[in-house]
Amino acid sequence: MARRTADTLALLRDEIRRMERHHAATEVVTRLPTGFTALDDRLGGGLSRGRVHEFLGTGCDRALLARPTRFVAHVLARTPGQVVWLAAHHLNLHAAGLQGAGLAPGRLICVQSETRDLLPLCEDILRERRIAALVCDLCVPLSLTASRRLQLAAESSGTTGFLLRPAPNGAIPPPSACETRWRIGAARPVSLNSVIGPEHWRIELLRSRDGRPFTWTYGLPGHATDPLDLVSPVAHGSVAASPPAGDHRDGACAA
Amino acid sequence: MLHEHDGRRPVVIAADVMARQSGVRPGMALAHARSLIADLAAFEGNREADEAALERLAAWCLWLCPLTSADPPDGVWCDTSGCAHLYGGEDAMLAVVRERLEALGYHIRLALADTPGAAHALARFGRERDTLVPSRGTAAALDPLPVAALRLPAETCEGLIRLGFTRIGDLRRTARAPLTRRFGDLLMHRLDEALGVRPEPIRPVIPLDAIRAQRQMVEPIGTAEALAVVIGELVDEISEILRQRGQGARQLDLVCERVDGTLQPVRVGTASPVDQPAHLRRLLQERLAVIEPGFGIEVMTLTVSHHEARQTTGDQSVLERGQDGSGDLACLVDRLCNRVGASRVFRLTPRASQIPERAQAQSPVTQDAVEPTSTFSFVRPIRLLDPPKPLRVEAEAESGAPQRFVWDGRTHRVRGADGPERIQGEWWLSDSEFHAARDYWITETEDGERFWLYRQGDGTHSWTGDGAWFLHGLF
Repeated sequence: MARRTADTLALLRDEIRRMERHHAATEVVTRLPTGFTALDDRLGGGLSRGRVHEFLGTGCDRALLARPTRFVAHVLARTPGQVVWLAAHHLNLHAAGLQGAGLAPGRLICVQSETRDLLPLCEDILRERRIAALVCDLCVPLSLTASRRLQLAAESSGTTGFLLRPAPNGAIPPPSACETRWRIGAARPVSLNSVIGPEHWRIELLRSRDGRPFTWTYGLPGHATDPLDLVSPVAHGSVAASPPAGDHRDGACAA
Repeated sequence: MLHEHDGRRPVVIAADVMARQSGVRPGMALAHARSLIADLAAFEGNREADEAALERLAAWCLWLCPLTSADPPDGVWCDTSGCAHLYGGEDAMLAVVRERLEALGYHIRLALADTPGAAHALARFGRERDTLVPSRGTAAALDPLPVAALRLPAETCEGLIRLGFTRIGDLRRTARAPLTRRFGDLLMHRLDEALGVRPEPIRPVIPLDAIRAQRQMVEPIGTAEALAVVIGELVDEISEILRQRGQGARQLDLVCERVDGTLQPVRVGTASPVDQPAHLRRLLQERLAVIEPGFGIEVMTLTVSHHEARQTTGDQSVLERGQDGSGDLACLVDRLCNRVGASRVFRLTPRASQIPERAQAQSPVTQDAVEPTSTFSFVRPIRLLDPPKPLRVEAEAESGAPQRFVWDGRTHRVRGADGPERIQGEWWLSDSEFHAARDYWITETEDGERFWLYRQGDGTHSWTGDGAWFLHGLF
């Protein structure tokens, strides 16, 4: 009897989901692997496709967003298809740097729009089925309603949205309806010699719709064309074992 | 120099620059002109041929905007509403027009104003060679012009001057009724047309071989849905013709004629020849927002103003129907181009240059993405600060590496540095870069942040640079 009730409930839930999102009722959410093994394991394979994810920077990088941009480029490098990169200001992407992060500049369609057109354009592009992803340098405030619209647009088409949100004054933007919110910055290096060694990243999952916040610290070997091919041994070796990094991996400090 | 017979004697009707310098003026008797210049090249004028040539020139101007009209004896009107963004603004558009017409050998004066009448006046009587009147600045721009700029018969002008009205501003500030009683309706009509109080529709030229479709509505329509339905019908008709001819549209003009007689043009362009009705319909429907239906639209005309032969090889048709969606991607790119301007949709392509900010170019998006062939051996940041931001370095190591610097209001201590990567100036481009050099350093601070800094100059020789430090990017 209990089993039948559970079945009925599952059926009803499915029905409601179908009514809410008629197109995605039975569709399994596919994932975009990030290339960071521990992170992918935790997320169940990577960032969910057809959703909107937002990224913040920290420290000196909070206005330029170099590390979040590299993170997004790493994710996009692992999926085929064209990517639209939208910005309201002068687009300061550097082709050689993109190439270094593994994302071929030939896959990008760069668009510069007026600031007031940014969000409507964002939504329109997210409705486009034939592109893999939209990346937007979102320099305008994002209201809860606007973020919900973007999320629905992404769900209707299966195009993934990446919002890069600069915060020149360092304030964390108000909550939004995006699937996940990330903050990506530098971690204190552990080695004390003056040689430029592996790069240390601190990746914080600040907010996630279906999970708890979490923090990872990674060491990336610098000066390689695709650093992520070598990431796992370092991440679980020297950096992961060291005491300060170990604290972070508990995920307790993420807010 | 051209002359014609005015009934009594041959008179000069047009003279070139050389003849004008010697004192020949239009309106002068031919005999007088001959006495001024001994070897005067005089030809008989032909008004009909001139007007036909002007019509041809107006049709040629269709590349600029959907509505053009000859304005005899010596002008062409172009209604450029909604077209300036395609050329990157109104200034840029005037520059393009000047360049193209001068390449054809014309001496031209350009004026861009809110009304045809004002543009006519400013092009002929304006102070500047090119006049650009800001929106709602028409009255101020017209005030200092002589009354002759209003396209009035010669006797009206003379009468006005005799009464003391020499400038348009004088007319605008005086009572209308007495002037109308004395000179007739035309005077105030012309003034109102120039000021935009009274609409003045221009009669657009239509190229003879154009592919066009037209719908005349029984009842004027005004809703977006109704407009979309009519656009759908027009597009189906046009694309059928295009397909029969094996052509694809590169540029479409939709002209909506309102009940009050004004015309609302909409122009869309495509990156490659298109004959797919769905693609064209989508492009036009995106621009529906710019149409102001007013009291309703009576006639809608869709014209293919530029078309090209489509390469109908088997490969391409397979591509367009295929799953990779390249056909739809072209539609997306066209929609974006029409929305934000073609110059603001681009791909980043590598360019052969050592200087980081010159190492890439913006190229238009075409169907086939060009994969970069060169490989970069040095690490580069993913974003560059443009322009590089000056930075204060407080201490340098013996090697020249920065040890402590101030950025963002904080002092950063450098834990490790990698460099220098010396980049020499591109002396083949400009003399000022002949000795210039930059030393780039990747520096890691104690917080783990990585900065990409450079110093102008090699640090030893002052002629290579002044030794100032700049931040060019972050890793």
